Parts: sequence; C-alpha cells; structure tokens
Amino acid sequence: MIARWYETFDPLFEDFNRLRSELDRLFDIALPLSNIRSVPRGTFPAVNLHDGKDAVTVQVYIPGVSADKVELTVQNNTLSISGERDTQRCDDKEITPERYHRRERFSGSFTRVISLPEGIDQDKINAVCKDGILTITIAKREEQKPKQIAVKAA
Amino acid sequence: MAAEKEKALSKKEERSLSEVAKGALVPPVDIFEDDEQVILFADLPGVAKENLNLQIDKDTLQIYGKVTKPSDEAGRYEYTEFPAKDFYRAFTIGEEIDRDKISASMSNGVLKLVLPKAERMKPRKIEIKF
Repeated sequence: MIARWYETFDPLFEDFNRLRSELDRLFDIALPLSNIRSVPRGTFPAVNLHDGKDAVTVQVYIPGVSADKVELTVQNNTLSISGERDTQRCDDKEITPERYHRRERFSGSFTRVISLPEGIDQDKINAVCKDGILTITIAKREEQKPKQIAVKAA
Repeated sequence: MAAEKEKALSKKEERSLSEVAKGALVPPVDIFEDDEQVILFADLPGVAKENLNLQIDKDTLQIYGKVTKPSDEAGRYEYTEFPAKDFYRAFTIGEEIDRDKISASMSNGVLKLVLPKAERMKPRKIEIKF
C-alpha cells in the first residue's frame, strides 16, 4: 500500500531510485520464494522486533494513532495489535475526494499478529506510545536468561 | 565576479539540506486544498517536534525530520520492516501561498502543515451589473 516507506532520497538519482523501488516492488510480488510469515512491503503498521538479553522489544509504527485507540493482546506467544486510523478527516470534517492532490497515507482499520520468541514472561509487558511509535517491552523469563555457573575446585 | 560567487554560495546552501538528507526515507503525504489553504499531512514516526526542520526558500518547501537512532543494545533484530532513518521530502510551492502565514504542528508523529493562500488569490465572486 505504501511502497514509499522504503524509498530513500538521493538528490542525484531521485527519479532513478523511484523507478528502482517500483521494480523492486514488482519483483517482490513475483518472487517465487519468500518467508511464510512475511508480509508485503508497505503493510501498515510496520513492525520491528528486537530480541535482547533481558527482554523482547517490539516497535510498531503507528503515526497519527493515539494510545487509547490501540488494542494490544498477548496469547500463546503471539502478540496482536489492532486499531484504526482515519486520515480522511481534518478538524472533524471529512475531506471530500475531489480536494485531494495526493493521498499516500494509510487510512482504515488494521490488525497485525506477530509471533514472539520463546521464553517470554507474559505478565511483564510494558507498552509506551511516543511520536507515533508504540514500543512494547516484554521481559524474558528468568530461566531463559544466560546464567553464570561458578566452578568449584574439587 | 562577486555576484557569481555569491550565487554559487547560495546554491550550495540551498543544496545543503538535501545533501544532509541523502539516503533518508521519503515519508508518505496527504495533500488537499480548499478555497482558503493547502493542507499537508506527513507521517514522520519517531520524529520529535524539536527534531523537525522545515525550510522555505523561494519556491521550495523542505521537510527534514531527524530520527533518534536506538542505542546499540545487545541482542539482534528478528526482523526490521522499518529502518531507523531520517525523513526528507521537498515540494515546490507557487506564488499564491502566503509564506508568512504558514503554520506547522506535530501530533503522534504526524506533521500538519497549513499553507494559507494569499488574499488576492482566493476565489471571488464577481458581481454582474446590468
């Protein structure tokens, strides 16, 4: 939907890059081999998943969505994020289609389900929304953390 | 000669922001217009208000949003659909936009830019006299 997320700006090759990204997108669709859980480029919202030492961090890119409009659930190692974003209203008035010059931003309801790594503690979840990025931190269970074993002299 | 030098210098400055932005992401925008103004919305997740740089030079409007990179913590990214990169996009605007009245606001990572039209450019009804 929003192929533009992956487009980068280059003052010299701006048009060339646009063409290249369009081609990439085309090949992405036609690619015979892809991960069974991968989503098409430009899926809203984009998600980053970081597997750290003490915690798993999930970043969800939801610009324009306020914290109270997001629903988060964790069950059986899957995290589900859903919500709604209406970009077709401005100052509580609907923007009629004929007034648009460009319409590139996602509008509508969304749901994403992510499978989490093993060994997370479902009771220790913290979610913070800042500048359009929702950061979910899930602690790892104690037994999953690396442990130092003292070696005794025999 | 001096004028030429000055011209080259100003051109260099003009280019500077776009040069800084090399490799930046191009944010998606919505642009719409009514009789009074042109309104632009841009998705800039991760850009705090103080890290947004808006520049208008003659007929070019430049948007540059700096993203704070996450600190290198131990571990690895299982997947990254969204790279932590800055945002850059530029537009040309016409004479009809009143440069002094442009206003901007940020909310939840979305930039709203209001570009009011100059009085003389607003549509007017012409009375027909008999």
